[in-house]
Amino acid sequence: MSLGESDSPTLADVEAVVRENVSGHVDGDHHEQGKQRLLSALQHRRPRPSRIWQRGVLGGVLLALAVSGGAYAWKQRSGARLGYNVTGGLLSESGYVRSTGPSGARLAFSDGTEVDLQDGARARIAAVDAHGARLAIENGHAALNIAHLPGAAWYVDAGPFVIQVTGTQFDVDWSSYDDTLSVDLHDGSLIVSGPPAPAGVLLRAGQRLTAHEGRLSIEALEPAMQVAETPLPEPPDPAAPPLEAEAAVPADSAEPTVVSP
Amino acid sequence: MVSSPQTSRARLVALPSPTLAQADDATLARAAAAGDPRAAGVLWDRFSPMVRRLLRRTLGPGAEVEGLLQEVFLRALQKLSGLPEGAQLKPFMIAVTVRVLSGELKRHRVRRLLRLQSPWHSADFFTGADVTTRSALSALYRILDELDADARLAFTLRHFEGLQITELASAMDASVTRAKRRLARANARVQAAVSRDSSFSAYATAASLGDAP
Repeated sequence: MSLGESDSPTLADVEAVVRENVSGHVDGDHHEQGKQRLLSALQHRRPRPSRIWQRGVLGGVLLALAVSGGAYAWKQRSGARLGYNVTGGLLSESGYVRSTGPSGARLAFSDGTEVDLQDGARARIAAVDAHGARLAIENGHAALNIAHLPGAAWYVDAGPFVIQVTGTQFDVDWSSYDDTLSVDLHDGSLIVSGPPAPAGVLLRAGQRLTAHEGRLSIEALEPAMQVAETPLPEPPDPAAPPLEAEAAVPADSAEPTVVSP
Repeated sequence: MVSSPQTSRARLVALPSPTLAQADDATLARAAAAGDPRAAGVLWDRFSPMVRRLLRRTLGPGAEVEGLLQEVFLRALQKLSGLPEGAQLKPFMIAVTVRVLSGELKRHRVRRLLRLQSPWHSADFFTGADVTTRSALSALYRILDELDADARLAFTLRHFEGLQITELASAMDASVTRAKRRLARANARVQAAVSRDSSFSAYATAASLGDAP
């Protein structure tokens, strides 16, 4: 035991107090009891899987996760195209659909989307992928019920107009005779773009859009009102975001409204 | 090795050494790795006093260490098969003990923070010494409680077990530089704390006068 010059304890004192008073010694019985406890634990211990086996299992799990993740990502990216069939009409090899009876034709897609073509209506399936399709309404009335699924992407062409849909229920009427488009939106939202609104018009549930001879108007569906024929202002910048029709036309408004940029 | 010249189909059978208790570390390690049922007992006889001492000196003489002692040996027996040929068993056992202690110290620190610690460092738990010594030990382990696990282990291994810095670094699986840094940090904090502690000063004064045992 030593003390420093200032009589304060040093690390040597610390070492000494522990080394002199703390040992690992126990009596013989205590020692034997510990040994028996260890031997008993070794006897009853379940054999542990070898490290190689553990690594193999871990590797297998990681591989399975990677494969399933990759498959999911691949499916998300490129997935199988939607399937479809037509009832009550004819489908040509080029995707042209025409109703053959008074009740019209139904186009049913594998994601649950349904397109009902009224008697006399004509449509074309322009493209189909894993997330939706591009349909062209050649003429007549179509009622669409688009399945609202993550990543869904549907487009409907009607003459010079394009309707962009994510998941919704609406009717489209396109007359190639007088170039008149009518869209009744029952559920969801969609964007309609065309010569009067190159940047697109956002349509919300409960609204009707009508476009005729360069004029475009939006009104509430109920009660049905006559569409006003008001000239549109200059087309907006094509790069600009779609116009908010809702801002200009409350869904419950009975007054026909013309969308302005 | 036993051979049987009387039979036409003699077999060579490897028998464990009848003197495993006196075998060197390498032989004992090989026997344990091969599953020799006597190896665990021999390992216990040879190293349990050292491991128990290390556990007690690190955690404090009042700590309950028998469960940790069992854990050290169970871990060591699992890992013996991976011990390189010719490796010494004592550093290996110290390294396994340090690993077990490191986990225990971290748990102990959390329990202290949650105020759930057991009263290991009460002077009442230290037997076999006079009141002054028991108070000094109690004060010392309260000071050590303030160190993080790595610094506390470095301090214990160097000052209580007398390991050289390279041995200490090896036991803690750290570089020599890092081990030195941990030890220096621990030395400074312990030195400062014991200098201010009245219990420890009383012990040191009594020892210098020859009153302490």
